[in-house]
Amino acid sequence: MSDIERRLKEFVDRKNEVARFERFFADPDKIVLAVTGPEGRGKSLLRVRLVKKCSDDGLPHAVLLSTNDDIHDFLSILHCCCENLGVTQFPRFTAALQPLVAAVDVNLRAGGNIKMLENAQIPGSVGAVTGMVLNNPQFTFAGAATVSPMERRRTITTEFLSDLRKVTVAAPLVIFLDAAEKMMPETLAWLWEKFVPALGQNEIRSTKIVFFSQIEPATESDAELYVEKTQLPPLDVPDIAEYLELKGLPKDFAALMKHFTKGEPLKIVQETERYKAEQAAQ
Amino acid sequence: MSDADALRDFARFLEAANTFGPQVDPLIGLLPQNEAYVARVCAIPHEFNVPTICAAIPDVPAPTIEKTVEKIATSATVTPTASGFLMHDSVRRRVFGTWLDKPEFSSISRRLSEYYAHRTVIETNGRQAVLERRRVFHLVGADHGQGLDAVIRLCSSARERFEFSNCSSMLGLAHEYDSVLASSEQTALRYEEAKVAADLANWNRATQLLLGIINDRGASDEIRVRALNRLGLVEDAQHHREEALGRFSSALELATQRSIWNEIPSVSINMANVLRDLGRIDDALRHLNAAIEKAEELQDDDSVAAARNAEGLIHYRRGEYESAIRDLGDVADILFRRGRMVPLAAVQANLGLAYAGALRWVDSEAAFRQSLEVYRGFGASEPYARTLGGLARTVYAQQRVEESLQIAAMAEKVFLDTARPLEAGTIARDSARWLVAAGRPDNARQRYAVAIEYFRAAEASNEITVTERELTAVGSEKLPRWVRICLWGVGIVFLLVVVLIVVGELI
Repeated sequence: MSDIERRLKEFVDRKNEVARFERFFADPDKIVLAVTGPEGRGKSLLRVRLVKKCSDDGLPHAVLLSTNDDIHDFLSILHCCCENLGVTQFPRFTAALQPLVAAVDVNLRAGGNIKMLENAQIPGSVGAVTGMVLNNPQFTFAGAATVSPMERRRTITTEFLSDLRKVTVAAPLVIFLDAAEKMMPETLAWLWEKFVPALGQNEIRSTKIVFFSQIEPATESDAELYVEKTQLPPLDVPDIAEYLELKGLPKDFAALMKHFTKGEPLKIVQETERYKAEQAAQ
Repeated sequence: MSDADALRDFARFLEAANTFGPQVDPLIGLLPQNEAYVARVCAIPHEFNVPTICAAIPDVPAPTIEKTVEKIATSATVTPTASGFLMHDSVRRRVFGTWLDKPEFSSISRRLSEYYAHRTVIETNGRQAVLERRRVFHLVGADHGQGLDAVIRLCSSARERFEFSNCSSMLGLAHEYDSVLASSEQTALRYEEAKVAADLANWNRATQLLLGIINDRGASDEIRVRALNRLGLVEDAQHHREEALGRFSSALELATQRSIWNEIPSVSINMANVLRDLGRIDDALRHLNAAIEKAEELQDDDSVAAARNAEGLIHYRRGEYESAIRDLGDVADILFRRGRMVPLAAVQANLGLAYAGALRWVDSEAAFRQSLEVYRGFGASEPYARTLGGLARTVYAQQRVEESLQIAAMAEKVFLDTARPLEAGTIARDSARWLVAAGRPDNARQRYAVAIEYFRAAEASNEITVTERELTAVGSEKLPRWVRICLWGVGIVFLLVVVLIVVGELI
């Protein structure tokens, strides 16, 4: 049994949230399902559960998990769509991503005496000279772009959307954005103010986004129409009883556990593990 | 034990946990001492696995590390990844916090930094940026000064490459050391964050961060001057010219008072640019001359180039084209010497305009074409479109109408691709004017109609009025075909009558 499968076996089956995901997926008017809840509420485990469901149902999907040392930005989201829907379907986007390195033709003209390999000693025979290294500090082509970041982001997004409009798919790609509260405010602003409204207004239905965050998205903007929001609740006594049973503890402990942990999944898990370890030690 | 006893026992257990407050990690507390130590080390890196922990604590036998990693990996607070395990944020944060004042933390961090430096070199899985951030993160743990210098260098190069999430991730990581960083070190991080926010036009956040630095009496004068200068740029970008001027003046005053000479050229140039936009040209030139003088004294070639470029543009706006050409030519020399090819392209485009102003069309065309060589590498961009537009006008001035129309069409397309309908309208209208002059009113009418559409998209009512007036002046569409046939017929009959009369006269 893989580690993920083992964890899913311990998953308290958040039936309401899974059903909500199914409704969201079937609703052509919604593009984003935003699941919010405080740290330790079980968002990531729900994400694992929904990813497993997508795999089982044969739905194309991708996960972008932001961690402290790897935050995803607008380009990660666009790249993710492009790679999963087929890079060849995104020619304009791919062209817009060309690195900001300008081709420079260098014409060298030299006057006066040029000494090469002066006093050099090369043992054996010398074959054809196939290259030359020019060691001159004046020839360092460090480039700084004059195109503003905002302009570049706008161009890349426009090109991406123009490609995406033409993409036809059997089932939409589901992108899971986990720990989205770690993303830059500018990326979130781009998502809610530009990307999601553009998908909605252009009736692009090849992408659906499931957004997990500690902070509720600020979508007073044009995105509001296309976003379904849900708050992940703490676990209730029957859920806790189910979990305790899975962990081999009496179901009767559930009410006490609820009282002391307020139904917060992370605390429940920690206390259960600690109790079991203490029992084992005794 | 009966069920009731078990329940009471469990209640006591939970109560004890609650009474003692949040523990470092309940599971770690129950491990044997040597394994608990290893488990706590697992919270130092953001992702752990056996090789990483072996590198961090080489004195601990590998079997102990393997056994511990295997044990804690089963915890529901630990998530497996493709390359190791992630501890839940809240757990890792608490355990990591306990390390910061430990004497051995610096040496563990040093070893982790070296480990990631090695991994950055050997791994080719596209995760180099993450590994590099990890290297720098642990370098901060090993040596704050050295590490923060590396953070700032990494951010600076990431910003140049538009990798803002790279920069933001790095700054977020550095903040994990906040509780042990000196106030000046935290200020340096906040300044970097402000720069990223400003790059991304997040003016509120940038302003908030910069004001925090400016009002922080503990911050060094140098960073306060830089923050004032940067805040001036943020105001200017929002077209708050007077506020920008106020910020630059404060920066200049503080820099002069505290002899922070190296910041003076950049502040003076920024100030001159705002003064120029406010129409105070003489004041702008005065500041630019001061900037050039100071930059030359400091041998700061980049600032000399920036100031001369600004001066050249002022001369251009005043119609002093030869002075503009002299200034911009000097800037181009400096930038070429320094290998700054992209800024050089911008200056060459400005030179193209200045030569055109001086009616030196051949030089103008050469300058625009040199600029385009560089800009073409960027694909669709606003400077590329503007340079194409300049080239089209210069080519037209040399009577090569067809070629100028083709270049203008390219410029129009790039302006549209970069969402600039106003500029696309202007170049379409220029094409229409050239077509009128070339005696092709039908084509001209079509270009005028397109230009009006663009201006509508840009909501530029004045431009719409002007263009509609020009379109009316070109005249209406051709007469209908049947009218033209009739007129031709009448003409031919008239001619025949004339010929018959003349022939009759001759006979």
